[in-house]
Amino acid sequence: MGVFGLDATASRRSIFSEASGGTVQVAGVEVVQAIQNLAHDVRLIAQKRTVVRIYVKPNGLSRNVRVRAEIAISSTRGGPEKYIVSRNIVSLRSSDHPDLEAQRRDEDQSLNIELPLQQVGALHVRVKRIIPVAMGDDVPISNPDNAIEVNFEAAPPLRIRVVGLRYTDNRLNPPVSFAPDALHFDLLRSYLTRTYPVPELEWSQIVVPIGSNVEPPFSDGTPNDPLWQTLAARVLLRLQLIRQADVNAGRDPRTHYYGLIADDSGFFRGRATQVAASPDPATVAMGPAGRSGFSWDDDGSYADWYGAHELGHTLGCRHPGHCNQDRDPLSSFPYENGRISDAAEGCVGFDTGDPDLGLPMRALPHPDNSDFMTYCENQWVSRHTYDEIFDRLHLEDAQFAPANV
Amino acid sequence: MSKTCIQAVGIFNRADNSGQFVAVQPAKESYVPQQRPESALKVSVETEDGRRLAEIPVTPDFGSCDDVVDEGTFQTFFELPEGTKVLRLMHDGQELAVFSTSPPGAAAESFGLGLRRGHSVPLTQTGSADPNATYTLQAREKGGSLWQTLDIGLDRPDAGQVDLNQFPHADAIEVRVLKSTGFDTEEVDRTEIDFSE
Ligand SMILES: [Zn+2]
Repeated sequence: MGVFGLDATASRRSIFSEASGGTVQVAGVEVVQAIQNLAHDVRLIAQKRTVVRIYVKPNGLSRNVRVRAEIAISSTRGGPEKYIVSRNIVSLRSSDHPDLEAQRRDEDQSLNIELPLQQVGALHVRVKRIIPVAMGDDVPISNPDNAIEVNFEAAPPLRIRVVGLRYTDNRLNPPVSFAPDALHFDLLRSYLTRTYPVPELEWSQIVVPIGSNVEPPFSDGTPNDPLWQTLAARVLLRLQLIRQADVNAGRDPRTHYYGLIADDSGFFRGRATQVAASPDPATVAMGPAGRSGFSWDDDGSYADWYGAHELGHTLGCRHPGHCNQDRDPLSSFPYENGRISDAAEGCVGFDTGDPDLGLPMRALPHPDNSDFMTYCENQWVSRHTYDEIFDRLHLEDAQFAPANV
Repeated sequence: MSKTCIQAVGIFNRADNSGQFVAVQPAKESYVPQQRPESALKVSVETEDGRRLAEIPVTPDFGSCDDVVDEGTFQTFFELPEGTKVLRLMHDGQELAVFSTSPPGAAAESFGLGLRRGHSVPLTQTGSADPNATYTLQAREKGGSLWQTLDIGLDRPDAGQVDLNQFPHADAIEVRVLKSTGFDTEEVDRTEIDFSE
């Protein structure tokens, strides 16, 4: 049996081996969760969804070859290895293969491997094989000694309760009640999981009445909009009272509360009570929920990035001041035009996607994407905001831990 | 005896320096800050005859996403000194609003369940409500540990409705009503809704 198997392999090689010819150089390996550069300056969070992106440079191929990559991962150098194969296929071009930066900018040009959830500690990643998808030999790797070492660190979860606020539009005959669709809760939950520096969300949700003193219209259309100011204050106070009643009944006092308001009767502009200058999970926020009119936002809801912005304020994030936004005087946002990184730092955003919601992996180059604390289009998280939220959640985790746990 | 801490929330408008208390309720102690920044807005904590027991500086919040908000909110947590009866909202020495607590009034607050309409079950109550109190409606999956607040600031114990869809995996839920006079909260009644019946 063994001999027969060897013979079969040998004959296959003899038929197809002439096809590949050249070699491939591993030009870069990037371990990414939301945003990263090749030096791995962005911290990696244990137990958070992680993708290894592999960039290659083919040499001397006689024709294009479609390949997968296989990596070996281990927690110690020389320790037991686990082998994982890329989910996608990349065509190695015999000429004009995209360069490293072009591969980083495009999720389809890198070989992408989703890692199992990682523990705190080191991880060694080595590209072991470049495997043609048609029959034939592996394309030899010219730098087999390509291992990198990265480190995963612990982070607390984001504890969040999203309160859908049901209102009645008495201008309709008969009056109609509106609450946010399930889609908006789901997409907000997914977006926060993908963009925030957390292993997971401690998520809960509920729909409650908005209160008898809040009904549409939610804006009087004036620049100062006193009607909106009054209604927003009522909603925020109600969220603070509900939050405290829940905490009194045993909910974790580190839980952030976010109110979600359907936009069926008009857009209820969002805000947090304040930018929480110091750790304060009792700072609450609210925002609208509906389908986006922006072409860049094609997942069916703007409640996701809108919510990430307002919750960012409850975690101390300030307006960087871009795209019709005043810069908060205390903002230390470093990147031009509100982008998620700059050329010097060289970070590329990466959305690891969400198979449950049909959201694919996407690379998000810094020149085209802006931080969700701006008012710009094409929103994602910058390295700056990612670090800021990480630090704040750590402080809240320790400072507001329940006394009796 | 454990200390009572309270949460006081309200409105403050910086355009005309007007303000009001919206609600006061007991709160967990962990939120009481050690230090408070100085502020023109204060809560004066007083006895029934006007003796000041404490003065709490309160920083109003004017929102996060707009420069033109005048109508802000405030939320403050503090320990209640023994003998407190009155909270006075002060700005630069001017009184803006008063919250005073009264002893719970006589009331018959046990409630029942009305006829289910769709996924909503109204509460019913035949006795009198306490005019000095507000009511909070909470529910939880039967046997669960966390009560979830479904409504708050109600003027009657039966003013809320139980939205069954908020408990999609439950076979039965427990429902309770809390009564708050501001400085005290107590459960007035509790019942169950069994979906298997
Ligand atoms: Zn904002």
